[in-house]
Amino acid sequence: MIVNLNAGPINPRRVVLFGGSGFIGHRLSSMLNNVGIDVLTLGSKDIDLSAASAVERLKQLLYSTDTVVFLSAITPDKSRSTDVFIKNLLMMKHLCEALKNKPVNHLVYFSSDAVYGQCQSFVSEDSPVAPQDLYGAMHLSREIMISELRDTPFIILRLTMVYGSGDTHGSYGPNRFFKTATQNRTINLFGCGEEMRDHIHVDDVVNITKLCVIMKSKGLLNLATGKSNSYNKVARMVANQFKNKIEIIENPRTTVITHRHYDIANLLRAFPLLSFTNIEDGVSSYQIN
Amino acid sequence: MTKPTIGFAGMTHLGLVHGVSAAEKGFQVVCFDQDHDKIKVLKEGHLPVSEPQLDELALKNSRRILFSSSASDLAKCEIVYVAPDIPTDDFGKSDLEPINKLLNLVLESARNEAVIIVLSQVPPGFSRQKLQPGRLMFYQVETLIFGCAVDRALNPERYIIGCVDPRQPLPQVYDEFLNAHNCPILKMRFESAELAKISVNMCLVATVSTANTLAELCEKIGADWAEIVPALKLDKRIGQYSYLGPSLGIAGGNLERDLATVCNFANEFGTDASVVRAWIANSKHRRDWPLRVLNEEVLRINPHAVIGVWGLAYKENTHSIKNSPSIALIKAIPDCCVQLFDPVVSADVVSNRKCISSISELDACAGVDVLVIMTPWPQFSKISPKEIAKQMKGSTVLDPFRVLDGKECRDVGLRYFTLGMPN
Repeated sequence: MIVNLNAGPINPRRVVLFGGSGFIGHRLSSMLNNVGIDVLTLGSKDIDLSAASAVERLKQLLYSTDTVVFLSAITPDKSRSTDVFIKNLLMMKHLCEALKNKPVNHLVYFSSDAVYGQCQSFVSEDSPVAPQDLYGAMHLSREIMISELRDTPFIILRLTMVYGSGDTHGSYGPNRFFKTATQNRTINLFGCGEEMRDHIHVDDVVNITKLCVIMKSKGLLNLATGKSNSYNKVARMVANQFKNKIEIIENPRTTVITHRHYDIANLLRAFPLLSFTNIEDGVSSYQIN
Repeated sequence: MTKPTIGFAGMTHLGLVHGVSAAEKGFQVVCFDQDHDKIKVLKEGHLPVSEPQLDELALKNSRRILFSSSASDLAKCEIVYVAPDIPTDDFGKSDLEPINKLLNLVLESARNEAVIIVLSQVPPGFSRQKLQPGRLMFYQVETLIFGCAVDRALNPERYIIGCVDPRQPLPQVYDEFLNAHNCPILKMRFESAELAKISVNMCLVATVSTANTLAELCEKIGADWAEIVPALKLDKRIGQYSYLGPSLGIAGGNLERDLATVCNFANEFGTDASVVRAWIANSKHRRDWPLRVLNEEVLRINPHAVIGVWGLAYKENTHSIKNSPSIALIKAIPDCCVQLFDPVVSADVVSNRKCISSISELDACAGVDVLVIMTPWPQFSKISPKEIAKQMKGSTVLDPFRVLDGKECRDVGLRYFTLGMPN
């Protein structure tokens, strides 16, 4: 259940965007600027959130009228180590310590659907959380830290598979398919790519985030489209974007097939007029070099 | 020998229906409520409850019914049923304060030898706690179904009676009243009777949830649930009266109360209720079917669409809107213009500036982009799809309960969406 604290859209005085140089952050920053919102983007070069000194720095930087959008995390494609897990937690620990002393207008936190168990094929915000790796456990731990904030209203956005041009992670799905199709003229599937996943276009993620910011939404939402497609189908869509033949390679399966579908009723209840990019349109929007 | 006089304390849906039905069976009846205004209205012949046959039977038996706001009138009764509403909170948890108060008043006002019967739904353990030395107390499971409450009160399938000691015979006057209904009488200890009512409802919810789970699958794989249902109903283990119609989840409040009670007891006593929690989740999921389809088929394309809604009540033949899927849908689309029609429920229950009350079904269709039929009132099925299409600006119809003929709708150019089959 989410609540929009603003009766109508109101631009915040300023959005402070942590992790603004990444795939989603970059687009979000542009979109917020386009609608007239002042955005201060902070990356790891500007502030080391994992250092204890970050608390004082944040207290100086943040104003009570700010909306903080927090995208910063060291993602699994960089490392899955325990050290990274701890470092990610420290980043949130320091933000929360700062916000406890100096609350802000609103906090938007980007979490992940990795907080749900892998075997859960049908997921809503009411589904039990059961992270199965340190990345999922990290996001869940961060969510719990945030839930202890008393004076800063917050929304947690659990991201599913985000795709679109400009992805920096190359995670399995459309993003990696495009990368390998461009580089090697091949797409490698796990098994035959039977797994169904909900792929959401980065522009839709950015649009929903903008709505959460201007409506000052509070609560928890999964960011998904409500429509799942198999990796195999998506791979073929990607291959069809190229003039030359792309080889789709199916491999012997080493793990069981899991599927993931979303009930997005809460998202629609929050923003009833929401529309999503069709996967076909989203895939065709990639820029092929 | 004169027939006993039967009292009903609490002029609720339950109390009123049972009071009028007892009068129809030839008994003198005292219908008591502390609310003077409510009694005044009842004396004037205006019944605040909508049920088939109720108005006619109340009028027909008016000489046998005494409406009273004076508790001393209960002293005229050999039997007093205690039937207040048991309100529930948003989590389905019962508030027992109203029944505690009313039961105390009845015990003070009725004769010492009168048989006192709790008719409202109470959690297991309630009745035994209320026993008083020298007083005759029972718990009778109520099987009221909104929309056919009078028929069920006149012709019950069976009586389930909770007693201190089920081996003892029932008091003669109580036995006489029950036997006037010609059905089996099942005596059991208080706790069993209290749980029996919940058990009946759990079996209903299990069936509803099964139907909804499989109907949704039908929508995806090309099957039609309506074709499967007759096969199930002919199976003796399932039965012809089972609740197999696809629906928008559990509503009305009573079933939700029992689901909450079972979960709470399971938590307290350490038993497994995970299946019950799954039913609750499934109910919520199916309730949102119209919202998902509306977004997918209409609002994504036309955010300014005008929506016609038929039905506000949580089901047909009732004025109740408790946990109504229709109300949930309207709340979820606060920025949309909605034209409402319900034969019984006033559009005033919806506090949304963009909702307009309509005077008829077709009036609610005038100029709309989409029609959503949220309550399967029988009269809705009499409206011709051709007339609907003529009134509408758009062509999308969401008819979860198949009130209209889907083929006829498609034949006149309407895009027809329903539960249990692919669209």
